[in-house]
Amino acid sequence: MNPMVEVRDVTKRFDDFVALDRVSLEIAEGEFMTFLGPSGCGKTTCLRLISGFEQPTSGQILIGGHDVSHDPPYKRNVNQVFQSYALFPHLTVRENISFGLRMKKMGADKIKEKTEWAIAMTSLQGMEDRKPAQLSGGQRQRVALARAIVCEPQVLLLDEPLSALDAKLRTQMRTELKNLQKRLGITFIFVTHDQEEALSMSDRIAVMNKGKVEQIGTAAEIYHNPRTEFVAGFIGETNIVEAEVLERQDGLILCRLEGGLELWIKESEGARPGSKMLVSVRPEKIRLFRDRPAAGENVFSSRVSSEVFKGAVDDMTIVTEGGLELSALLANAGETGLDFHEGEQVWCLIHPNDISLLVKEQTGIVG
Amino acid sequence: MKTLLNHINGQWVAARSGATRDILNPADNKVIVKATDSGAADAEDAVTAAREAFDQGPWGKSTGPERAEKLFALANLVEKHVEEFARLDTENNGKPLREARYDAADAVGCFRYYAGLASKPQGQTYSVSDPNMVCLTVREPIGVCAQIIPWNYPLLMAVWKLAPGLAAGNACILKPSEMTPVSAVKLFELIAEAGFPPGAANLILGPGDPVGSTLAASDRVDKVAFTGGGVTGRKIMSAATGNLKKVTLELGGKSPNIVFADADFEAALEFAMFGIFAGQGEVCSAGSRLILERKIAEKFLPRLAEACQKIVVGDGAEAETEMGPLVSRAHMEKVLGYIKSGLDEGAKLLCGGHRIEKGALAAGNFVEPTVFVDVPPQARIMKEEIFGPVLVVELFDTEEEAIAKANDTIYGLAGAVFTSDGAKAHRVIKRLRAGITWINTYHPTFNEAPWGGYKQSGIGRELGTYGFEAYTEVKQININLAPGRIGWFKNL
Repeated sequence: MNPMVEVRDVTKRFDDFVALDRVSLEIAEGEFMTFLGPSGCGKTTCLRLISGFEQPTSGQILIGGHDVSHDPPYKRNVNQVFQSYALFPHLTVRENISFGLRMKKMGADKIKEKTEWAIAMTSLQGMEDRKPAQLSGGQRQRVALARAIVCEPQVLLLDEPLSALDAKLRTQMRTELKNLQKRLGITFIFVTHDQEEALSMSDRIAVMNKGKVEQIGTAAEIYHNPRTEFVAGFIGETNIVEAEVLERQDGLILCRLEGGLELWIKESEGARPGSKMLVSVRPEKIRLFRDRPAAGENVFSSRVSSEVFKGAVDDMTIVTEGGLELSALLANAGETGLDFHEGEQVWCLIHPNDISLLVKEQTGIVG
Repeated sequence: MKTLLNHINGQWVAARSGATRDILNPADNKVIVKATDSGAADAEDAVTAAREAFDQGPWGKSTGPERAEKLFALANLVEKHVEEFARLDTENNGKPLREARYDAADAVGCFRYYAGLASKPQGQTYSVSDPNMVCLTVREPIGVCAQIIPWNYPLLMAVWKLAPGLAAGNACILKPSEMTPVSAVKLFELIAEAGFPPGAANLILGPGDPVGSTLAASDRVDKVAFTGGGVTGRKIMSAATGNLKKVTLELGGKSPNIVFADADFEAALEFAMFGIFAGQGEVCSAGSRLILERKIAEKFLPRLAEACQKIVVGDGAEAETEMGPLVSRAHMEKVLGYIKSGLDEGAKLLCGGHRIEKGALAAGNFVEPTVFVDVPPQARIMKEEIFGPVLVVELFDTEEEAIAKANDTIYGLAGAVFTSDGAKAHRVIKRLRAGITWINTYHPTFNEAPWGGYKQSGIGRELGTYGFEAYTEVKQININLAPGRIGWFKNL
């Protein structure tokens, strides 16, 4: 089956600035895809190229298998929800939602039918005659969504649509948005710089940096197996340490980290004995013990150099015998749990599968 | 507090009455300076000075190269004070500093353009049926020119008038708007420094009635050039009939900006906004009617409304300001009155529509960038020039309909078309009844190219060689190479 949206080797330049650098990705029908990255990474530019608001400098954009690279926005069956909703302040909810249909000179009955459908889909019943100023942030967001879906686009583009909401509402809207996408069954392309949003809603995430896609994968893949230094650092907290590959054996790689600590790491492409790489270890993947664990690779002793209580977890800093400082997280499991304090000696264990070897410099399309 | 004075016959003089007028900053309506407030007698003094300078003084006998030298000197002086001019116009008119800087830079370019033109070939020679005759034309100054300018481009309008007027050798009398005389006074300080002889350029400060009307009616004035509204334009034209003086008028507009669905979307969007919100919409050539292809309205208008609400409105002197206050409280009330009339006549507001009164802006004359749709064809906001940040949107389905809507106005100053189809762009422009047109852009204005309108947008052209010619008379000279009797009368 053809992907619903395909970005093929697309570059977008603005004078000397390269906003997108040979980006390729495919988005399936009905998929919730998120473009995640910091400000200026190219994610909004990519969205604008798909919507047709911008034209690619080179490469192709395909929607539903058709090359639309140079089609104006009106010829593409996509619609967009904007960060600030772009609602008309003086029009009612119903007028805002039906605006596009009215502009298209659709018949009154048809407009009514479609508008009611969009109102029901977004649970806006009872608010039809209010104006945007009389709505909460979440309700305004729903009006923007209703207006975007009323014309039944194949693809809905969402440009940081939750960023104007307060934290609590943002969390709530994530669920609503995901549920709406499931109900509609259409492709959503969501742009955000907020990793939590990306991780919690997306079927897949494209992590972008400096105009390139660094990694595409499910939330779990991206989190557990980051491929690049940028991805590891951008998504969640992690320890990134320089390492030298010593040997390969039985699907594992032995690396020597800064400070002399030697760890076995799962097999990774491009890791040859002698090569200098980076390793990433999530703090919660470092398991701490009072007594030396009986078996397993990657067991080493350390000292707790600081401990910060953060409610559900303790944020620890440990220092290995060779002086390597690592962050570790310890769940506060109550009376039955382990409890370590500054200055204590601890045993640490990291499973080889919980360590990622990273590509130091971005290499463009990965994954 | 300093009082700005008239500059007549090379002297700084107050109005005979001693009256003054407060000059305000539209961002907070505080008095920034006082200006002498002239009457009819002062206007007559200015005419006398100009008349003497032209009829008896050295200016009337000056050569093109002499005038070029003075104008180049003046251009250099203005260039040295560009930032000061920009700040003066922003403080007095309200426009954002970035716009005022463009105006000041344009002013320098305009003086240089006409300085260059002053010494270039003019006139023609003709091959006529009599082999013993040489027939040629020369261009000569018209004489005394009254130049009445509006408040929206205080410096630049002065320069558009003075530069060609002086380059052609006329004695000029500039009357700025009584609300915005500040930069003109600074300009006349530099005119004096550049060494123009007394009376060649005169400045008179005061209201349209009686100062402007006296100049327009005076039998001793040979030409009146006016930029402003149609009502005043008609009065000036009527007043000028007494001595049949030459008249050029640059009046208002209700200019169409036609956006086809195949246009570069982002460019069309930004220019739709730039067309109407640059200069707060107080621009004669503003693209105040967005004529939008229906197919893209669904996507275009939400973006437009969103972007309009993000326009940074504030004191023009603030670096981040994108749109400033309207020039006066009265003008703001007039614009708000138009917005109300739009609503009363059934138009629908997409965004804006209110005065901005939050915080410090409450003291100034700030109006939200405003967009109307569903405007009845006969509504006042569709027909009349609002001269403020108010855009009306009309939708069309066919090229023919777009052209018909574009031309459905008493005005014909400017117009633009946005499309990626080159042939379509030319077809539309060809049929647009307007004097200044743009394809895939809006507003760029060049000193080299003529500026003026069709229909009720005015008479004549400013800028370019057309603007120079508008300050000249054409004299035909016939020279007989074989003087002698022609035998017409027998009994000599």
